Amino acid sequence: MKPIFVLFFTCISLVSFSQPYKIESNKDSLMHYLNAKSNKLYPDANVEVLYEIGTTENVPLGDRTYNYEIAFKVYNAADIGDFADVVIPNVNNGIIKKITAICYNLENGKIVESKLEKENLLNDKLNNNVDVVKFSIPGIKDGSVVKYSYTCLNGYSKRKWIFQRDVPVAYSRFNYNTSTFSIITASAKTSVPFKTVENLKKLDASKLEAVSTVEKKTFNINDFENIEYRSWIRRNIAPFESEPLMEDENQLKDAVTIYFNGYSGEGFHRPLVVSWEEYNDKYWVKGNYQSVFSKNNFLNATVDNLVKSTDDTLLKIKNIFYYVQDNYTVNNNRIPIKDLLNAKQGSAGSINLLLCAMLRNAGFNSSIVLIANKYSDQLNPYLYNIEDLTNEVVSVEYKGTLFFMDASFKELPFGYLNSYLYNGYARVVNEVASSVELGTMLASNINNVNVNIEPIAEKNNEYSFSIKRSYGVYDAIAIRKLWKSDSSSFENTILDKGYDVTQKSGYHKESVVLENVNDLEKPLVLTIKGKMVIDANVNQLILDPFFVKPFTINPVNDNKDVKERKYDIYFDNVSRDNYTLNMKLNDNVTVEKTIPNTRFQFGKNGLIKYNQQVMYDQSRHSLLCKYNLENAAIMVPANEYQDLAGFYDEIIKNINQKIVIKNK
Amino acid sequence: MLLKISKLKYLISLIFVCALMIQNGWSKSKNHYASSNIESALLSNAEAVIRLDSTYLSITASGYVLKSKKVITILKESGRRWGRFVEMYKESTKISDIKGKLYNADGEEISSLKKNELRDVSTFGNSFIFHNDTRLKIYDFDQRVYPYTVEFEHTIKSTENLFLPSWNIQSSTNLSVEKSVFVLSYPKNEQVKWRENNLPAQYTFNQNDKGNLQELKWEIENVLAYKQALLLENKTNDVSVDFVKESIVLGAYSGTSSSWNTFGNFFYTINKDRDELPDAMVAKIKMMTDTCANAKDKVAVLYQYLQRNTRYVANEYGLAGWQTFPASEVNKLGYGDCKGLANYMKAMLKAINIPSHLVLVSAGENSFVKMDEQFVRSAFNHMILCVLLDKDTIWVESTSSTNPIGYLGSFTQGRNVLLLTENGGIVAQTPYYDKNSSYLNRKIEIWIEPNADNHKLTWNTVYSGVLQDDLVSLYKIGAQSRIKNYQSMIMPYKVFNIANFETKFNEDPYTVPFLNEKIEMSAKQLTEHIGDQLLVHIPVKESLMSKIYQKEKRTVPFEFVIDKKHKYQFVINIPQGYKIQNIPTVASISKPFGKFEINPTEENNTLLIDVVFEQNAGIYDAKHYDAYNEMYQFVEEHFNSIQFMLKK
Repeated sequence: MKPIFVLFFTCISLVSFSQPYKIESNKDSLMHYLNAKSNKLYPDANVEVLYEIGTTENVPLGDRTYNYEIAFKVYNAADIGDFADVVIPNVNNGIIKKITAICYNLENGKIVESKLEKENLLNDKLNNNVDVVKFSIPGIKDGSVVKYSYTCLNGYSKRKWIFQRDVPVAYSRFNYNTSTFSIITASAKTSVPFKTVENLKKLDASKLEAVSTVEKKTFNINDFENIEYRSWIRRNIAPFESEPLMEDENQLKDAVTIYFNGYSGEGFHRPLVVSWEEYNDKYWVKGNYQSVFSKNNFLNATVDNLVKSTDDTLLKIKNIFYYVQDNYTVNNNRIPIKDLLNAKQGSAGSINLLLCAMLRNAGFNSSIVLIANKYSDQLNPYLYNIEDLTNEVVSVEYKGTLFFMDASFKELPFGYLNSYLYNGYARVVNEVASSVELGTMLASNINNVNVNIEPIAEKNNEYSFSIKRSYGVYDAIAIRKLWKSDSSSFENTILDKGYDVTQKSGYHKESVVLENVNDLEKPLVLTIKGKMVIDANVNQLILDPFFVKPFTINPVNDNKDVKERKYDIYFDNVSRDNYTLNMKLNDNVTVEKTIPNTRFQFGKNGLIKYNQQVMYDQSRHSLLCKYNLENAAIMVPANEYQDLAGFYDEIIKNINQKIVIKNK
Repeated sequence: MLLKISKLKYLISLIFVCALMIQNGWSKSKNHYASSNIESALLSNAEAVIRLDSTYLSITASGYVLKSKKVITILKESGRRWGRFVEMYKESTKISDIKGKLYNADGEEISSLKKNELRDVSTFGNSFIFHNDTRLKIYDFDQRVYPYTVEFEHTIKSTENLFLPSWNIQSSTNLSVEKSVFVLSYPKNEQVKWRENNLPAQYTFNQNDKGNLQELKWEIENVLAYKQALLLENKTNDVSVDFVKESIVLGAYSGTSSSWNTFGNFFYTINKDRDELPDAMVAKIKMMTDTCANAKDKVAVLYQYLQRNTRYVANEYGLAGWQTFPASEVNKLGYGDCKGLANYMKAMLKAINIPSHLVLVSAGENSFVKMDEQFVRSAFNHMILCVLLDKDTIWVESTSSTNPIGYLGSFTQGRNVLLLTENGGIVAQTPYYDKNSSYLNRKIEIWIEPNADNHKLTWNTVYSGVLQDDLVSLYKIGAQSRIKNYQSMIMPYKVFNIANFETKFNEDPYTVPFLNEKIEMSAKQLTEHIGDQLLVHIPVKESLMSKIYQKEKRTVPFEFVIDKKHKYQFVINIPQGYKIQNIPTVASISKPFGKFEINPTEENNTLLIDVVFEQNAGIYDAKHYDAYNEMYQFVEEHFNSIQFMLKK
C-alpha cells in the first residue's frame, strides 16, 4: 500500500465515535449495570442491549472494513438465545480479526472478568463461499454484563443496519464512511424521525432519540481521498413485538439502508443507473435480455400452435400463459429463452421472460414487470434501487387493461399474482419504459359457501347435509397443494377432523369431492356430504346454522387481551366471504327462536362490512341463513385498532348464535 | 441361382434378425432405467423408487471401506430429496470417487455430475450443535421434469470402526425398493455381529469363504412403499441391518464390544481422569457443602450451583463428541455440552468424596434408536450422571436449569442406560414416571352471570411429572409473550380476558416436580337467552386422544410412549333463581389402552362435572384400532362442550 493511503486510513481511524454507555472505562457505570435486576421499562426482558455500534468503511482502493461492538446486560441467562453464542460470517475471503469478548459478573461485591481466549475461537467452513468464526461467551449467568467486538477486513460490508431488536436497545449507532467520490443514497425508516445535525461533534453531543449527520472531511484536494462520514443514532428502542395482520417485520423495524449508486467527482459522473428509463434500455431492452423483445422466429411454431385454434383474443393469451405455466418447471438456473424452450426447466425469471417473448411473438403488447416483493424494500421512483428487485413477472394488455401473471407459480390462474408481489411501485420493461402501481386491491379472494340440509325420515333431529365451498384464488393455493401432495390424506383429514362446525360430534361425513383441482380457470370447489344429529336439550334442538365461519378468533388480536397496537393493520387482499344455508325442517318440529338480522360496518366508508340474515319461511317450513363479509385491501391505522377489534368481536358474537328448534 | 438367391435372402434375413436382436438388446440395456420398467406395485404410495442400492462394506482391522452405488427414480416433486446426493462425513472419514448420472424418463442419460458443482457444506445451523466436524457432500442435478432417474456412486474410507454403516433398506415409508444388495466383508480373524431389524420375508442371505475373508451377502427385491400410519410404533419404520465389530477403534482409543461391560470400559477409559478441578474451586465446593447434613443435601447444593453457573453449549468436534471436556475447562468457561456438564458435576462431587458415574443414554421421547441389551452397539446420544450413595441412587440431568435434583424427565426416563465405571459398563434402568407421577388435575370454576354475557372463571391446574417438563421452562424462563401465547392456545373460549395468573413450582429436591398454575379470567359468549330460558354453552378444548383415522384397514400396531392421567372438575355456579333443566349424562368407556369417565352431579345449585381420562403406555396390536376409534369418538362426543338449559 502506498504511504499516502496509510496516512489516509490513519486519518479515518482517528475519528472515534463516542457512546454514552461506558463499560470498560468507567467501573462505577459497570457496577451500576451489574447491579441492575431488570429493565425499568421492559421488566420481562431477558437481555438489554446497552449499546451496539457498527461502522462500515468503504473507500476506493483501500481496505473495506466493518467494525462491530456490542455490550449487553443479561437478566435471564437461561433464555437469551443467540446473545451468548456468537457467529460471525465471513465472505469473499475476508479476514475476521481483533475479536475480543469479556463477561463481567459480580461475585461477593467484586467485579470478576471472564475473557474469551484465542483457543476458544471456533472456525467453520460453512460452504465454498462462507466461513464462520464462532465463540461462546464465557461465564454468562444471570446478572452478567457482556461486551464483545470484532473487525471484518475486506469481507462482509454492512450496508443495512437494523436498530431494533427483540429486546430493548438503549443505544444503537451505524456509521458509514466512504469517499466523497461515491454516490450514496441512504434510506432510513424509523418510528421516530431522524433529526439531522451539522457534524459528528454535534451528533455526539446530542441526546435525541433519533439523530443523524453527514460530515465531509477534507484530507486532500483530490475528492478521491476525502471522506464523507454518515452516522445514525437511535436511543431507547422498544423491543420489536409481532402483531397479527401487520406488514412484514422487515418493513417495520427501525433501520437504515445504504444504496451505492456509482462514482462521481470533479469532471466525471458515473452512476450505476442514471434513471429507470436508462436501466430499462441499457440492461433489458438493448442489453442482456434484448432477445425477449426481438422477433424470436424460433417461437413461431409453438406460438402458432397455441393460438390457431381460437379467434378469441383473450383465449389466445390464456392459451399461451397456461401452456408455459403447465409445461415449464422452476429450478435455479437462469438460462436464455431459446434454451429454455426445449429444456422446459429454468429459473422463475427465465420462465416469465419466455412467456413475455411468446406473447409478443403472438402480437400482444406484453412487458416484463420488475417487482420488489413485500419482504424487501419497496421500489422507489427516484432512488433506482435495483438491488431491491426480487421478481420478474409479465403484463399483457387486453382491451386497454393490463393483466399481470406469473407462469412460474403453478397454483394461480391467469391475471393473478401472489399477494406478496402487490407491493406498490413496479417497473414495466418494454420499448417505451413505464411504471405501474401494483396495489393490494388487485388481489381479490372470494369464498362462497352453500349448505343444504334435508330431514331424514322420522327422527326429528337427524338430517342430511351438503356443504359446497368455492374457494377464492388465494385460499385455493394451499388446498390445491395439499390435494396434489396426497389426495388420500386430504380426504382422510376432512372425513376425520371435519370442516368447521362439522368438527363437532354429531356430524358424520360420508363423502368428499374436490373439483377443478387442475383447472385454474374454474374455482376450486369442495363438496362434503354427510349426516348430522342436532344437539338435543330436553325438548329442544340447538342448531348452529353457520357451518363455515370466516374466523373463529378475532383476527386483529388472536383473542389476546390487547389494549392497543403499535403497527397498522394490514389486509393484503380484497376478501369476500358469502355464505348461504338452506334447511328444510322436519314436519315434527317448530322453530322456537331464530337469530336477529344484523348489518354493521367498520369506518365511515364501509370498507369492511358484515351482513347477516336468518329467515324462517313458514310456508315452506324452512330456514334461510346468510352472511356476507366484505373486507377491502386497506391499511387500518393502529389507533383504530379498538374499533376494528370490537367490529370483529361483534361478528364472532353474531355468527355464533344458535337457532332453537322445538319438537311439536 | 435360385438357391443362391434364397441363401442370400436367408443371409439378409439372418443379418436383419441379428441386427434387430442386437439393437433390442442394446436398447434394453440403454433403457434399463426407463421409468416404464418399474413394476406398478412399486409405484403405489411411492414418491421415489430405489432401482438399485448396492453396497460393499469391507471392514479392516481399524476402519472400513464402503463402496456404494444407488440408482433412484424420482416420480414426483415431493420425492426430489431422494434425487440428491447427500453424504455425511467427519474428520475420520474420507469420501472419494463420487460419480453421478442423470437419466430422463426413457432412461437416456442427459447429464453427469460435475465435480466443481459438488458442494461441501458444514452441518452448522441445522441442529442445536454449536460446533462439530460433521460435513456434507451435496450434489443436485436440479431436475424438475418427472419422472427422472439418478445414479450415484461413491467410496467412503474410515479410520475408525466404532460406528459401522448400517444397511438401511427403506429409509422412508414413501420409498419403494426394486433391488437392494449389501455385501459385508471382514477378515476371518475378526468378530463381527449383526442385527436384522424388521426385514421383510423375501430377503436372501449367503455366507461365503473368500480366503482370509468372510463375506456375507444380503439381497432383497420388491419392498413396497406404504402409507404412514399415525401413532406408529417407532421401530416399525426401521427396516435395516446393523453391524458391530468386536474390536473397536475411536481416535487413538481401542477396546472391545464383546459385552456391555467391555463396551462401557472403552468409554470409561476415554473419559477417565478429566474430573480434576482447580484448588480454589475445590475449596469453594467444600465451603458450600460443609454445613450440609448429609450426602444427599450436598449433591442438591452442588446441582443448584451447576444450574445457576453453567449453560449448555454443544461442542462435539471429533473425539469431543464422545470425550468430555476437562472439568477445569468447564469451570473456567461456565459452559459445556451434556458430557462436559455431567463430568463437571462429577468432578464437584469428587471434590467432596462423593462417587458418581457418567452414564450413556439414548435420549428422546420418540427415539427408536434405543439401547438393546442383546446387541452391544452404541445407540447413545446423551450423557447424564448417576450418583450412588449407600442407600440411594441419584440420577442427575446436568443440562437442565429447571429440574429439581433427582428428576430426569421425559427425555431420559424409563430406559436402559450404560453406567461407565472403573469396573466397566453396567446396564441400569432409569426411573419411569408413570401416571401416578405424571398427571394433570384441573379444576375449572365458572360463575354464570345471567344478565350480562361476561362470566368469571378460575382455572386451577396441577401439572405433574413429565406433563410439567416443557411448561416449567416456559413459566420459569420464558418471555411473557410466550406465556401469553401458551395461555391463549389452551383457552377454549371465543372471547376472554385473563385478569391474573400465578404459578407455583415444587422444587423440593428428590421429588417428582409439579407446577400449580392458577388463572383468573372472564369469558363471553357462554350463554344465550332463549325466551325465559338461558342456554349455557361452555366449550372444552382438551386433546385427550390423538386422531388416527384412516380410510384403509390398519395393519400396523399403534404405540403410546407415555402413561398419562388427566382429571378435570368443572364447578359451575348457577345464578340465584335459576334451575338446571337438563344435567349432562353420566358416561364411561374403558379399553386396554385407556379409560374415560364423565360424571355430572348437581349439588346446592352447583353443577359438578368430574372427568377422568387415563392413557396406558404400550404397543397395541392393529386389531385394537376399531376400539381406539370407538373410544376416540366417545370422548369427542362427551367432552367437546358442556351444554345445558337454565330456567327461572
